[in-house]
Amino acid sequence: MSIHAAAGPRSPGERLAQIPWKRYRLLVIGGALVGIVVLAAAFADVISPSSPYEIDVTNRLQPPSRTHWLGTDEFGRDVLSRAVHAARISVKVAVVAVSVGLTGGTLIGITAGYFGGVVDLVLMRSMELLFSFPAILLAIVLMAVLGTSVLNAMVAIGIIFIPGFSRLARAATQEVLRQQYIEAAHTIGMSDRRILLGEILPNVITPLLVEAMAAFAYAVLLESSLSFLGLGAQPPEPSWGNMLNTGRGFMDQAPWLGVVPGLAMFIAVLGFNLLGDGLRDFLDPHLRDGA
Amino acid sequence: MLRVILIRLAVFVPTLLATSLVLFITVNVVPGSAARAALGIDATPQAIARFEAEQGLDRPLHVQYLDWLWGALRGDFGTSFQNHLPVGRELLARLPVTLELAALAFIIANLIALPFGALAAYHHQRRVDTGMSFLATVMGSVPNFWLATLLILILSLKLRVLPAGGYVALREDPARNLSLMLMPAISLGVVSSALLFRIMRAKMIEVLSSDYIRTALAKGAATGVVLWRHALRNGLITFLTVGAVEFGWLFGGVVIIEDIFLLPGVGQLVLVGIINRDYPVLLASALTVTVVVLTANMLVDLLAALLDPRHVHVRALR
Amino acid sequence: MSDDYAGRQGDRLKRGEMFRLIETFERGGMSRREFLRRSMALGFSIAATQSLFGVAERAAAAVGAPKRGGVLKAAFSADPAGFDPVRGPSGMSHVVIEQVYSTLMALDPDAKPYPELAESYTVSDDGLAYTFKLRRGVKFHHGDELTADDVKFTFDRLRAPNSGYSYGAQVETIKSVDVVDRYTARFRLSKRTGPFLIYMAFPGSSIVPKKLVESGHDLNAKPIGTGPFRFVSYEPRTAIKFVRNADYFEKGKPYFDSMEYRIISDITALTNALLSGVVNFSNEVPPKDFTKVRAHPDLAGLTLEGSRYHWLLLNTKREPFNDRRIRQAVSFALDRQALVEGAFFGLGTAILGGVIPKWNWAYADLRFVPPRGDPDQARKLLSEAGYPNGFRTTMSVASSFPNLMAMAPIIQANLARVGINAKIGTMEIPRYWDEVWSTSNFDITSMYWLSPLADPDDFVTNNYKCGMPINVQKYCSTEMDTLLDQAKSAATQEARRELYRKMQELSLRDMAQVPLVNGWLLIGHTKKLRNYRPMRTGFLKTLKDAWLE
Repeated sequence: MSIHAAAGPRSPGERLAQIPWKRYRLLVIGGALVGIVVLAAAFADVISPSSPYEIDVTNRLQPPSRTHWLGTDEFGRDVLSRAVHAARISVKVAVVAVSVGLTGGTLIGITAGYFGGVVDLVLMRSMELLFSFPAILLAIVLMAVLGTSVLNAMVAIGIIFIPGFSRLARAATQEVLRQQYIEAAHTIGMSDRRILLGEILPNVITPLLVEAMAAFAYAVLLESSLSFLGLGAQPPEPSWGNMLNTGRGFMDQAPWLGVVPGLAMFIAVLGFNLLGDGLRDFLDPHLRDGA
Repeated sequence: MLRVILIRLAVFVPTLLATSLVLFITVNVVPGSAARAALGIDATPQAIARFEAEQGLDRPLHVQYLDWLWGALRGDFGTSFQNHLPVGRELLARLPVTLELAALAFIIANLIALPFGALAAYHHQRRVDTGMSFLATVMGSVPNFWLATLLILILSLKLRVLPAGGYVALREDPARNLSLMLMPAISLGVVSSALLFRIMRAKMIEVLSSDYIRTALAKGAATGVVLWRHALRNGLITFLTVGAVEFGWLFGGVVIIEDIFLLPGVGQLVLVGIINRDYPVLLASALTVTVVVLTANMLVDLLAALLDPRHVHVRALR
Repeated sequence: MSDDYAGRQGDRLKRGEMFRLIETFERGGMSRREFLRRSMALGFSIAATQSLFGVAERAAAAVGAPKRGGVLKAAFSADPAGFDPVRGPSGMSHVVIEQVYSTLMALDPDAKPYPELAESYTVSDDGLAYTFKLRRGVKFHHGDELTADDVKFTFDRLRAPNSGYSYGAQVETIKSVDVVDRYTARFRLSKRTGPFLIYMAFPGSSIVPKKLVESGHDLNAKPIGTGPFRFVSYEPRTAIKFVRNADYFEKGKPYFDSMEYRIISDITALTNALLSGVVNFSNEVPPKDFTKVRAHPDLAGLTLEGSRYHWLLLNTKREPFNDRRIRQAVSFALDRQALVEGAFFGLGTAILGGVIPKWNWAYADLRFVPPRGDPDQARKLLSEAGYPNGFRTTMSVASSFPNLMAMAPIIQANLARVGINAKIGTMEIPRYWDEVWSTSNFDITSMYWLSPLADPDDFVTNNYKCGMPINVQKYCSTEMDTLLDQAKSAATQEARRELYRKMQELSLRDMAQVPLVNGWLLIGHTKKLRNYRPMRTGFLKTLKDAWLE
């Protein structure tokens, strides 16, 4: 057998089979779970069998059946439709919050890491202060200040994420700065801004991206917690958190009301976490032996 | 060495002050008047004005803050708008509940994370490790308030082995106290054990692959001995530093759990304070929670600086 | 109304009065002499009345002999806001105050006043002077005897200019309180006040110990009164503890050794506490759990129509709700039966006419809307008013009131079917008070009212009179105000009833607010509790007559 035979053109099936799935197992599973959630959010109207707001009191608290796959709630609303629409809220909040945190945190972190000195001290001390508040507590207080709505939940959670990202960005920036070529760029007179955007940013992307995945997971969790406490999405708008909260009051008559929203949360959070782990393994296996 | 300690302490106090200031401003910016919340639907404008005058809410903000601070330093946190009773006393009564919950959750989290973390590290890069890591990710993705709901459903409603909520002091009735604390502690502890597991595992891997250990193994020391005496001792250092942070993190997470299980702790007080716009209560309880977390963090820094000068800033790890 | 009908009505009323008299006498609410006097006033002969004594006493025996002992543990969801009658504005404060203090008059389960601290009373013909003869030997919990000085002190305190008393409207017609002698107090009024005796039964009118308060004692922290129970302790957000007052003036009562009011803010947990026996009484059972409570082998479930009515407020200062036809259209659009089913699990009464409930003497049998509503009529009114295709509007709801939140989507759906598109906005209570309620910044909002007094004036004046703090929909009508004032100060109950009928008819024509549902009182207690009579006002005074087996 010629050694060149292996290098010849192969069928798509064979090519597919050649991919080391085992290595990217986490990425795939995570991606699949996240995919389900995002698709549900994007196509909520199409997928839902009925409107999440349609009340039918005569059919309240029905267990899962052929007409209502996940049963009905205390107003007779279809639980599946509500859960699917709630995915929208979780995804929206996660995306916006992480974007806010990522942007803000990266800006602050890179600035602090690059300029050092007083700038670094002031910025990082403020970040420390913000970071030392337990996340849930800060979220609750912020929501009370801003007012309870989905939009404000996005802002509040985003603010909570900024310190974490800033710390990462700063560390990565400092790591990069130690590289020789930055000194070189400085010497030849490259402007600070060009260095920051052109050289540093691309290198801090990787750890930030992995961190972002974990942040997505945490955002879903925080938004659900806030809604659970009544501080997030307001009824009748469905969110996994407020569905779980009302479901709690019916646990003995209608346990599915409590199980379903929590399960949805779990799938979303797990998906993002696995995606984050998988991404890390994929991009930089050395990180795996760290936390 | 002493210098390090002094610096840490010197930073701690202004941090506390800054925290209190931030909280104070935030609380007062919260929309929704405290007066109306306290007096109810048929409050007349005169009654509201009277309330605000009594509580000093019509004074400029910085005056109110300094007044409050002066009182707080002497242990006087004012009186609740709702029931006109001293907040400090209620806070003190509730602190043991939250501490007990955090402590129990801490124990559970460590009971799971320590042995499994060490095991995973020892079988690093083999199937046992990957399997356990995966399991840890799964467990860590469970929302703790969902776990709480499920536990109530199964253990309280279906099997009727545990009560669904409430609290009895430890010294009054230890058995009942523990039966009431079990589910809350599990809800908090199991989910944080996943995070703890990761950190333990990472640290143990680092320790196990260190030169010191390799040399010992090469010289023919029994694996068991190596594991127990050297690796675990280093792991213990990690345990102490991470544990303090973990405790602080747990303390912050008690808010929801206390709400679900009706535990009269400090976390519940924060919620009550927010819902009722009861500023003295909100301020005092939020500050207490934050102070505990800050103190835990500071102790971590101190311990880390003392035990291991090369210590990687643990808090940077997720 | 034909004479015959009036006659039959009269008989029915007389019989009703008689039953109430017997009831009151049975549980020791009046002396034999008083019972005799009043039954004769109704037209019964002495002989007939004497035979009724036997009936009453036999009835008492049938219930079983009272047993002393036991602890009543009641569950509540809110914290009280103080225990001084002049201070505590909330219902939860009142529930504590009524156990620790006593009042000159008290309300029976059907909200009729009877003398409590007063042994008897007389009213002058012009209705401007009430003279109360006090019982003798009534002791405050700290030992002093209650005298007319304490009565004068109590009401002077309530009427003081900076007292902060939230119910000043009740005492505003009192010109003066005079001490005639040690056991007689006379109230002089500035004008005839129909509900006066009911005001005397209000927890805020509890008699406080003059010497103790003057010496600086803080009743807010440690209430001292003449009530059936002594205050022991209050642990915030946890429990209020009471112990039997051994020197209570009603001999033999109360029967419980002690009571505990447990505060459980989460309503599901409250139900669980009742079901698992941690508490043995609650009158705050949520509708969703009531069937569960009633079905429990150890528990009894009681329902009672009180005056817990919910209503929709339409801002009369905003388009298009300034047009009464639109407001009427809203009322016709609503399917109140669905509201009762959906939000109250069937445990409520749809209010189809005026807001004064059936059990009250001022009830007027008016029917304005059918139970399921009348969408056609609604659409017709909308067209007439110039909105044939409906319109868009907003509905603001306070998220901390579960019944209002439960009704909101049903109301939204009802309005939508006639073309009114209402977007629901919710927010937590403190912000709601500030941003929506107190500034009347809403198109549509909803609220509910627990009338603690059970006088018809209490049901309606606060909501319909121009300028009242609760009248945030800013409804103003001189005709309405006049009717309300006249009804309050009319000379006889008959006259008052007629005026309240007129007032309710006007309220429906003008549709000042849209009445929705009267949610029933839902009570769950252990089957071991005997002789507990639930009160229409939702208060718990009758606990002193009950015992545990």
